[in-house]
Amino acid sequence: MFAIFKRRLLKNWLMILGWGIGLGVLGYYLFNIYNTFFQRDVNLMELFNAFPEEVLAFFGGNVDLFTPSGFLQLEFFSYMPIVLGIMVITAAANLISKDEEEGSLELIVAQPISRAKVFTGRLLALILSVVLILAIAWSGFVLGANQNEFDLSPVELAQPFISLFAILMVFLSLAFLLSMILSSSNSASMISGFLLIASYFISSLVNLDEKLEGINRFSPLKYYQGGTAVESLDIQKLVLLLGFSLAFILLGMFIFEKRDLRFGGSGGFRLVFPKRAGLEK
Amino acid sequence: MSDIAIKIENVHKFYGKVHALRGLNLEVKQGEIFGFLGPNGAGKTTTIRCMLDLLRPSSGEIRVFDIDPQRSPQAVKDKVGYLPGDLKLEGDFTARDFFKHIRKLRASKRAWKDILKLAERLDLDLDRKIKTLSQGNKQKVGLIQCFLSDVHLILLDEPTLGLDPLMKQEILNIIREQKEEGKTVFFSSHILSEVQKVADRVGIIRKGRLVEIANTADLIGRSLTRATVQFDEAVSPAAFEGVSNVDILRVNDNNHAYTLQIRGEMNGLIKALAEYPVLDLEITKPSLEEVFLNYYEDNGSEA
Repeated sequence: MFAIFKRRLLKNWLMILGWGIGLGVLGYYLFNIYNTFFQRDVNLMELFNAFPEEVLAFFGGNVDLFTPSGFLQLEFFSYMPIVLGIMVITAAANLISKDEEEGSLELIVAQPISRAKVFTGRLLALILSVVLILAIAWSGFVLGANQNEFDLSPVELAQPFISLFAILMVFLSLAFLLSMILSSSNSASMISGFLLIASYFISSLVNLDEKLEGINRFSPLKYYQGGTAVESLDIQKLVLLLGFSLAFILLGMFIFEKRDLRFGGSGGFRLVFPKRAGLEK
Repeated sequence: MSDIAIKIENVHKFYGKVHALRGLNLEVKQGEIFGFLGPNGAGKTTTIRCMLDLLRPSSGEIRVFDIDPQRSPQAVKDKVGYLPGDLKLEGDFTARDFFKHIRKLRASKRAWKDILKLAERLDLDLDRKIKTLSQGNKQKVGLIQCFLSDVHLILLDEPTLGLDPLMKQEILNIIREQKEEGKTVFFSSHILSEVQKVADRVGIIRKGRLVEIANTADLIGRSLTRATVQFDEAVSPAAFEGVSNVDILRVNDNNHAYTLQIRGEMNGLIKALAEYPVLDLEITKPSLEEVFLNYYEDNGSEA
């Protein structure tokens, strides 16, 4: 399994560095921008209040821009689930299905290694890649906070990243599960992406219309804390998101274990559900 | 442990409504080279994939060295080297890195110098990225990876696909050497002359059913014989009507030349020919290709 894990991680190194450094640099400069905001707070407050409620709803709703947590939510964590979400959805939908579609998985699964190990090795590499991206981004934030003499500890800054990690895991595991059920990795990406955007809209619009609260309960982003996690991390929400992620992963793995491997061109690409284990006589 | 390497009993496989294998029965002995023949879509690849638990039979039983691939897939795969028919490799590996990667996934490992020797023999550049290799060279990579560990059974799905004639010959030599080392080789092909050269036994699959299984030599030997006769004068086709075991395939040259097909003993034909002035007589045994085509021509237009 380690060989599969290592191979996959090495394949992801460019993605890790690209995303991690990019977000880290963005985080570093956000603290400089925040200081500038403070110096011009009166004018900005007027400007901020002039924004329509509908626009603010999509940037975290009723957040106080002039607190570090509100600023981080507005400028970074409110839209990161969408930006990084698309990336993890694509990677997770391709985790197994892409190689199945292309045919290169056949030779790997034909080796004396279980499907569970192939899957676990690849999944762990992807999860570690996400963790590394977030860790590099977090280090940019820590550096920025220190340089600008913010009263935020590295642990406090890590908390919104933990919340971000949890919501990313939900969409990662959902995309993987769908890629095991649907006919192609593209359709799994598309549907997962649609659910991500829908969840973002619902959890944003609920700030304007309380009637949406009923449906918002089923929206994963309701349980995402974002920048507000700087103040305190809600463990219950975290456990809920990670619990769903684990359930989706286990279900996806079960389907992968039980079903036929799919082969492009051999009539194998249809909706797939596991068949009864064992040979029927 | 029995001397049977592969045992397939009444295996059915459905792809949705498509019935790909229809009660397939097959036994392959240890240490033999078994040629598995059939046109595209006959079920050759599905059979091989079922042996490796890549596909699960809808019903029936498969045993590879007495092991059920569904219950103990790793134990089966540990004994098997496999070359897929539609070989796809991760392109950003070099061949050398790819072999190292696959070796890590296998418990028993063949000496690295043996791998290098085989690569040299097949004239494969190990340090080029796989995506830059020609189809023939990719096929060589696929073939060499079958021998990265000490396996007992080698499953080759169309092993000579995309190779030039010299390299095809080399592959057939390697297959023969595997048999000499006591390994079992099961290979599917639709290039019948190759199967005829190396296979001890041949199975012919048609629409998911095994329609024939026999020693290669026996299969050719007991099949139809063909005779081409040139007469000095025109001979009426009626001369061969009623002659036992003889059918007329073609009449040429205004009834001066006949191509005849003989089933079994030729006594009746010899007696019939003795009545006419024969200029030339040529008797040929069919190639495996003709035997194979017979199975398909007799049963519709599949061939």
